[in-house]
Amino acid sequence: MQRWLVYLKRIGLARGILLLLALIPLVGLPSYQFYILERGLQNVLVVLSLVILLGYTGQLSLGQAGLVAVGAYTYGILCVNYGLSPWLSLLLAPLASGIVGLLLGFPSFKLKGPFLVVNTLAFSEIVRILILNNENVTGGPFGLNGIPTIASGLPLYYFMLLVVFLAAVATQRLSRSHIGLALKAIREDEVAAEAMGVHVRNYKLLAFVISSVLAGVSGVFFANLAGYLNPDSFTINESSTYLLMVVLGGMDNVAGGILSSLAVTSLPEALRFMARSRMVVYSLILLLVLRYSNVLTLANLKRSMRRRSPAPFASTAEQDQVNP
Amino acid sequence: MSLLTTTQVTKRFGGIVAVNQVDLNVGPGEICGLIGPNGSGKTTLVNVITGIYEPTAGEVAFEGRPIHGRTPHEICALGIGRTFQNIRLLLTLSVFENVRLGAHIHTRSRLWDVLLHTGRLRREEKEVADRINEVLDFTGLRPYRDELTRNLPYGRRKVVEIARALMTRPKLLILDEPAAGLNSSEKGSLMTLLGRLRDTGISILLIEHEMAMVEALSNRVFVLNYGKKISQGSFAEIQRDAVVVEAYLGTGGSHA
Repeated sequence: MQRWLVYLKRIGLARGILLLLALIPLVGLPSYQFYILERGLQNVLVVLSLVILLGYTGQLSLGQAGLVAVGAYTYGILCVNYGLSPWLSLLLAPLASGIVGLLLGFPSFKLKGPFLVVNTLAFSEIVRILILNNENVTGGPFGLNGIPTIASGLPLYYFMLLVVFLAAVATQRLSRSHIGLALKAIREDEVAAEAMGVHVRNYKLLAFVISSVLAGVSGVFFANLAGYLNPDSFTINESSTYLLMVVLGGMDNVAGGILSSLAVTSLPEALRFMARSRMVVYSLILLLVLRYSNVLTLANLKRSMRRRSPAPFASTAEQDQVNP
Repeated sequence: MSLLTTTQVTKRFGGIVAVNQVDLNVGPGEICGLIGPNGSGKTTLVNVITGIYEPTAGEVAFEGRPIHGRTPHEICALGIGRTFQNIRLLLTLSVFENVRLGAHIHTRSRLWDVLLHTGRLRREEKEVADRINEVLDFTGLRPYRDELTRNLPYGRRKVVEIARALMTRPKLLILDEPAAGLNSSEKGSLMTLLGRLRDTGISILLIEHEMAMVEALSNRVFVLNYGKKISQGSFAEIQRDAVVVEAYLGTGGSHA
């Protein structure tokens, strides 16, 4: 048992979970459950995009579904309308969502709190309505059919897993680096970050772009899994579910984000036997989990395990709020 | 040539003139005090110098080059480090990470280096870690290196801010009321720290109400009142200046 923990610590929890997922096909899953697992993996990418944007940089976005849509539709349109190879489209789609993310970043970097939320939400709706109304390009309400896939079955699963693995490692490296520190400084105190030489605007834009690229890759996988795109798949419901996943995962925690996106994706499926009361129970479970999330989140669990004693100066910290 | 010069700097907020035609200069290796009653415009002046506010009129020059109108991060990169009157630390991060933020402007690794974990990144991170440890040793924060900043008492947080500013390797360090809110033993160790800082040859602009500290450290002192500079000179000189005494104590007639 001890040795097992030492190994896990060396690999890291996030990588450990993903390595375990690589073993799942060996155990074998019914195809529908396997599909849900793949959808979960696809959602991990969006959650990682929010870990960077919200968890590190503190920018609350309700527009992730719009960015996923940009990735998915760029892939679909390039493949279907222009006959580009899926692999080339796979590379171009995140590029497109990255550029769109940059364009979203410009009106967003000065906005805070509710203003930013409304801005990103409006962006997402604009994307959805553009898709809906440009029928000759996107298929509009009828959707985009017959999207070719880069691979299917197990190869697609392992390819997705590899990409998620790389994205998770990249996110963790970012977090530990001076760039991650600059992003967290923006989250904690923009004035201090700026005064310490952080180009706040550029770093916010960087966070938006990285986040949009990840969301775009997720969109490509969505198109690959579904083979069909419809604007109804990219609404505020999806954006708020992504938000829920990242909050449950502990906001800036990669391993937590992976676990919570897998869990939240499969929960409504696991509750399917309840038929009509399913969504009520689903919501109740989420409410309860959120209510106790301060106990449950991985970050806190780790912290409480590490802390042997209460903080030595905790008592004086209360008085510090008085402004001299 | 003086390091920092402000010429006729004015900052207006609507109808209020917070800083009014202030001339001030700090020479290399000099410690200058900036004092004045509450609301006299000291912090506004600092915010103008560090680029948080743009002056309504007048000029700010650093090493002979005009810097007004530049952004705070550019001014930081030019070599002006600062602390804040109402501490601005990254409370959820450790002391180490807070001080590490000060190294940001000297970091050359790019996103590419971070994602690929290149040799350059590793080399640079090691150098930065060594320098952070040096600064932590210098400021006496080494024992609290991995402590979360929000668990530190007020006085120690102020020292973390000084350490963070030192990490930017400033030529001029602006300290905005470092002693405010400290107890007497904390004030004592702050005095020792600032004394050792002075010996390193760094220039300091010290805003402070603690007159003993201003007296002990400053080569020259500037006095502000209602946004205007009312006096300047050595501490002994401004102490005798009737205008300064009046600004702090009043004329004595009206409330006798």
